[in-house]
Amino acid sequence: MSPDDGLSAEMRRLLNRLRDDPLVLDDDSADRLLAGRMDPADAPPGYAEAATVMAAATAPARTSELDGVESALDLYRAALAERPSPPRRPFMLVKLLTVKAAVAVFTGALLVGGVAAAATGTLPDAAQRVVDRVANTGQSPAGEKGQDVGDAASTGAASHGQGQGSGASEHGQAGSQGTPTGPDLSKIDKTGLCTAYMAGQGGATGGKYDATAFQALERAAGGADKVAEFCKDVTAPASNGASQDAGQQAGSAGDHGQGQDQQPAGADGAGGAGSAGQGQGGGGQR
Amino acid sequence: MIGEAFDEVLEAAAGGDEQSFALLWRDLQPGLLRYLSVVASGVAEDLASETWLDVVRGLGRFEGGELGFRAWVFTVARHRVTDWRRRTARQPTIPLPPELLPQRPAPDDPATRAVEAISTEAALALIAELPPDQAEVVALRSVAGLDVARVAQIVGKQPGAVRVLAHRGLRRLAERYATEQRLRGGVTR
Repeated sequence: MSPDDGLSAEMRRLLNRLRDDPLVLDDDSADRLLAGRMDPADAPPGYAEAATVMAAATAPARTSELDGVESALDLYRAALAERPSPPRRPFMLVKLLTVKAAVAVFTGALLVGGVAAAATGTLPDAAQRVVDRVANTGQSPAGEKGQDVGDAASTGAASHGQGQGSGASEHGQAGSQGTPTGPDLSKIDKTGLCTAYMAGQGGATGGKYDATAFQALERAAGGADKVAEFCKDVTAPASNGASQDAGQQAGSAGDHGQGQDQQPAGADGAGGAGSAGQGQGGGGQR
Repeated sequence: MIGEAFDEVLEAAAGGDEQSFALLWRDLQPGLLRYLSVVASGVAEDLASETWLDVVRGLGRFEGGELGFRAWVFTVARHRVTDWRRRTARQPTIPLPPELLPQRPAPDDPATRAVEAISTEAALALIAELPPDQAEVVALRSVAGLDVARVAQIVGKQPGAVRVLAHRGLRRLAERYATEQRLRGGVTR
């Protein structure tokens, strides 16, 4: 027994007692016994059988103990397959589409801003803030859980914008229909949409200042009823953008996309993004 | 033990190489099963699978050498045992009919005779009959092949306490034989 073991008083008492004991065991013998390397013939008095037991316990592996290698490999494959944690994939999608939406918003802001600058100086700033927000959403997926109310609220708002933004760029005004808290659905129906407008409108669910952007856009277009025409240039890729399905299916924004794709994660990326944005927005508004 | 190649094997296993994982598994599974059969008799296989699942999930995060890895695997196993005990403690206890209880070796059982060789199962059953803390330390020191310091870490005790428990466990095994030899030599059952 080495002195640096920090033996407790109890152990010292025990060892003292063991000294008069026929079964006293030194540390080295104990180690050999435990390792199964003590020959019963060499074992301290009384420990021959214990040596046999320990040798049997530590005997080399038998085939029966290795039978399960196939199921172990199944388990290994399954565990590895789940390793890139599932929530990540939607996030990548959201991220990519966030960039896309941001680019669309930015393009919209440039186009709108060019015209609007004469009418009002406020739009480029407001639009830029929308862009900033949308970009922030992409960079901080942590906001998704809403640990911080403030963060969550702004994430939610931005996500709305993002979902609708991408929905809008692909499907005309589809995105606006699904927004349960949209500021003014009838006006949106009436005015149609363009990317910048939709992103701004989404932002309006979470913050007031985006209303300024709308107003600016409307002013730039020469009135709320002229935004649709004004936005046609901006949303060039949009196919038949007419709203066929006025908000009854108040589900995800993507679901309104001409009914081409009802599944949130279907082949239609915009549909998926719309759903994701909607989900996050809901979280943010809690 | 895998030895020098361990780091490579571990890295490959963490990266998805099945052969490397199988190597780790073959090296550790027998000891794992034996440890579990001592501390959680009857559910060793299930708890071993749960342990491996956790281990695979954590493979990419593990850092350390082979002995450290071995200690980590048994630490995970011990957590699975603790969880299992908690689960079963919550279930109402239904007295088992005697024929379903684990067979305790009778004095005339080959396992308890001072024979040249006894089966590994019989030996593990004998260790499992020790008081739980002694049984666990003896199992970790023997079948898991861990040193005193690592066992102390795993069970959350001082190294000195681990030594005492191991000594007491071995001593009890020895006493058991002494008692049975007396019984065999004297009173017939």
